[in-house]
Amino acid sequence: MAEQTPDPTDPTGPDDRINDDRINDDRINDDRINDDRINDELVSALNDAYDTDPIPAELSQFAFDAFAWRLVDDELATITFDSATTELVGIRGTSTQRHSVQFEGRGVSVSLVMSDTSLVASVDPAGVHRCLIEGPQVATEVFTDDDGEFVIDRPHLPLRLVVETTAGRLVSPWITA
Amino acid sequence: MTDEQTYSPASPFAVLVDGSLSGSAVAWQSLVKRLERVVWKAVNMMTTDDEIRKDAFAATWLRLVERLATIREPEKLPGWLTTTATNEVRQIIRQRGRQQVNVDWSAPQDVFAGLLANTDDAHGEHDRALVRDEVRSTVRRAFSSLDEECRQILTVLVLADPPVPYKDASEALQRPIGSLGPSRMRCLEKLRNTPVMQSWVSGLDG
Repeated sequence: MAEQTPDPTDPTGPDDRINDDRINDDRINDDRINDDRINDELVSALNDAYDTDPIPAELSQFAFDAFAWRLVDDELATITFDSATTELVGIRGTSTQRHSVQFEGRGVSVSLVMSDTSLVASVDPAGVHRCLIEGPQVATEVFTDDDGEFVIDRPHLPLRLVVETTAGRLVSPWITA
Repeated sequence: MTDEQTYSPASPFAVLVDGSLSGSAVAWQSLVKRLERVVWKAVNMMTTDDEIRKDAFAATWLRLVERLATIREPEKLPGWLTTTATNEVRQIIRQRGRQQVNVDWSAPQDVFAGLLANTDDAHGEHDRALVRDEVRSTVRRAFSSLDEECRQILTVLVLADPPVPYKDASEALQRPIGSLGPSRMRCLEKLRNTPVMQSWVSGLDG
């Protein structure tokens, strides 16, 4: 008996098409289930790979000690601009060595620009303000000049700037990068 | 009751946050003990640079002390810390202009095929521990070869425990909410397609 050879150019043949679709659907479902399974395994391998690192004792101690830096009566300034976070979402920064932060509170606004070598602060309204550069180890006192500015050698990070205003102390968020 | 009796790492987050805000160092230390591993894991996933992960770990705790009064949903602290830690790492890398160390692919890439088979055999506990270490370090090499964004997305969306809701992740990572699901899939796929993980995937099938 001669086999009936299907004409490959025949656009009809609904039965074949339905079968092909079903096979494709099954394959897609199988792939998806397999994908999910592999991803689950992957996530569990990742968790396992990173769950065991011992935490250096001095870091735990630092976290304990960080409690001493909580603010009780001082006002935490509001960041109005931070080049570090802006560059995270925007275009990659070209000058990676400069960090510019602006913050405000207690009726003053402050701009900080850190370069490789220096920290420039500018307080508005201008005038002489007593400031503190605070770090986990040391605090340094510095005064702005009549123009409301000071320039110092770049301190170690992290740091925060405390500005004494007529309304009380204004404390910047930690500058960590 | 003394603070020692009131607060322990097993206390609810809300109790520990309130205790810390009212000035109890014991409450704060309990909070740290409970959550330091979360932070350490996040920074380790983001970078292999020892200096950066230490600085980012420290920065994350300073940040929590600073923001403690603004934490409205204390039960979400693990996710908040994970997200904050990954952001701190990214900012430090960006600011210092330091690039991720190049990944060393020189180890045999079919490491998994043999290793996975061996774990099922009746080898001694010592051998199995060695095998587990080898698998861990290989997975870490593969993960550290991903770009920074993928490492952050997978750390926050997949490995935070409990996982960070997309809505919160969208805010914290400053990415459109609709991009997160597809990014998560794309990044997992990237990880699977790294040379070392390819042989791991075939090991699963075999």
